[in-house]
Amino acid sequence: MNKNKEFFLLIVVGLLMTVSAVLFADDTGFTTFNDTSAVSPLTWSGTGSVHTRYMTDYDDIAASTVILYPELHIGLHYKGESSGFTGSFTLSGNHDFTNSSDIAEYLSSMIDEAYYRTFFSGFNLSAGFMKIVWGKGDEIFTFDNINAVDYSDFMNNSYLDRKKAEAMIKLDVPFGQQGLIEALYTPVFTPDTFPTTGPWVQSDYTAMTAMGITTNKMDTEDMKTLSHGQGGIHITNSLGGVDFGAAYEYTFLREPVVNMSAFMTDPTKKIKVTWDRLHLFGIEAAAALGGFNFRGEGAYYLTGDTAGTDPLVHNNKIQYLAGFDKNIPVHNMSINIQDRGEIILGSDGIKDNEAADIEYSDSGSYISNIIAADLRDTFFNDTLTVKMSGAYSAGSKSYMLAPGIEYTIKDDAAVKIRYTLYRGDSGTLFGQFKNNDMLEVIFQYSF
Amino acid sequence: MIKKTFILLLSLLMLSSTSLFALTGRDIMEKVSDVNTAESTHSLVNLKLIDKNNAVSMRIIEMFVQKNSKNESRSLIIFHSPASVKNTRFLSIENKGRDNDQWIYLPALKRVRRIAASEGNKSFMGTDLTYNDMGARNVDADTHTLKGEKVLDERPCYLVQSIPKDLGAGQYSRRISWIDKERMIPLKMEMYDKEGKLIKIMRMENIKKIQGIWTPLATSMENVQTRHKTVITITKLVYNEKLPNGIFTTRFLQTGRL
Repeated sequence: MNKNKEFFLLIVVGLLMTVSAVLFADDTGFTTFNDTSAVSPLTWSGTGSVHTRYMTDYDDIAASTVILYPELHIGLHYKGESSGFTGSFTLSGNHDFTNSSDIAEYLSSMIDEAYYRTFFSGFNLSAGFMKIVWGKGDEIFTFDNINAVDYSDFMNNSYLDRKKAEAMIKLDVPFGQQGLIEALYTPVFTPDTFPTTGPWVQSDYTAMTAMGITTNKMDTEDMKTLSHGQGGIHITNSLGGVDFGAAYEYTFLREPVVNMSAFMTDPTKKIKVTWDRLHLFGIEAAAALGGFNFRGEGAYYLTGDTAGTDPLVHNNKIQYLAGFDKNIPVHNMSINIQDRGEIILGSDGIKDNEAADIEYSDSGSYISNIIAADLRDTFFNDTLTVKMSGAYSAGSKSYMLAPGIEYTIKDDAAVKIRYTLYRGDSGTLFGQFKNNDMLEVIFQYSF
Repeated sequence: MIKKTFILLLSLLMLSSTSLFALTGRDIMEKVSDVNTAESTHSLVNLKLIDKNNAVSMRIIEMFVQKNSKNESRSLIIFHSPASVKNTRFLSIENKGRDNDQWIYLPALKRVRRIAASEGNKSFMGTDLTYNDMGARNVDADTHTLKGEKVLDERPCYLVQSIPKDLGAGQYSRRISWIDKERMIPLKMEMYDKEGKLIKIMRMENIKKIQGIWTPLATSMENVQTRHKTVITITKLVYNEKLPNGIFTTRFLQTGRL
């Protein structure tokens, strides 16, 4: 059945390509001043940075751990007449090389992206390892599910840096003035990766290790088979001052199913780790009204447990995002506020199953909200930015705050200073990192 | 016969002088708006930022501007340098009757983001121009008053004051323009902030006729309050180039390709 669905996706992609080739005229003859023969079609760019982190020990400041590491990011771009190639990789000293499997994983993740794009009359076709971002949110999304997320340093990286490139074939078909249809197929699903050592190990994993459970006691589903492919279609357009879109993804839920039932009765047996198949539907809109940039998203997660009674399958759920950003009429200040909420449906079934259900919550609440805000001002013709970022988890009453400044010393050289603090009970979204308060200083050069 | 001809000539002269004297501030600004008859403009522009200590930094942008059949303009700006903002792209589409649509593509986020009209008052790339300064301004967004005539750089000019009809929406409380009477292009403009204080002075220089269109190849914008200055120099310019519609789209912002 799964194979049939994937075959169907390929047919849809093929049909879209054929139809678009007929419908759209060629837009040829466009060149920029940079496209002259004197300019090489191969260009490269990058950033080099030195990071210094002071992990604050409030009892003895002098004993605070200092983490120093360099990072180099290189991007290569080749621009042919009707095609192009983009490749980028990152070399980072911020990695724990405790064992050989970590090194192998690191080497494979060094390449951020590597793909080519071919430009046809009326459509573009891309293939390779890519990161895509679907939705109108600002670094927070509800149905952007195709790429895996690397949580090894996730509190300190940008949304795009946390993402892992996924092998895919992607078709872009423009329509009308601003419309775009994107269709993609990935042969496999790559699960998120979580650190097993270091300061950013999540409390769920810590709790499991306290029970003597390590990764070698887990029987993890092999997601690199043909039956674990993903497909998605995303349609966006703009009309009358409103940008809007809709998406459908045939994918997997990112939260794994950790089935400990066999292990609990017989500790010699392994814990099964699997992922739920998911039909993910999303809608999005953004508009500029009265000086506000409003944005919103909604997503329906249709899993195999619509009734909510199966303890080993995640229930259906709804996610929504609402937010805005606005200039404040004081100096160059601006504010950005977003709320992302989640409602797990069929929670009565979870309550009936009690702790046997993988989604059982001691608090009995199956609604959660995270509110993120960013207030900033700029000075001296945008060379200095002063900002305060923060996020609050309403369900767990935990939060993070990150005041910071960024100063452009010269056009390509900048220094960034940020202090991040986490508060909340142990085991909560932000409280689990309450011992990770830190000052970070980054010297960065772009070229 | 001679008398009749004289009367006719006199009448014509009177008519023409009446129309000249009756030229209103709005008429002048409409002529200024219409002086660029090109359907499209493609230019490579150097932006030289000079702070009050005379420290200099450079930016290079490429601009594409096209007018549609309704005389609404669409503009695309591609940032070439510095490296930290390379391939950032900005799209502005003028809409008569409602706010302009504006989007920016930030390569570091891989995102196209809509910009509200109020954000147009923000500095454009750290220069002394705002996003709104870079875009087209509808002649009827302001009340224009002819304040007299003056000579600037040995050229006779109209002096026109422009006050936004919606004082809350505009970034300036008023602008005073020196319009070259012969070429109908502004040579100088003073901008006043919401408190009525002079904030910026713009000067157009090195005015040349390119493909039959008077064009200032150098423009300076000085913020007299911060003593920061931006010098804009056009290094390449082509009028009436055939620009594909596809470049004025959010799709192009995302990919940089048609």
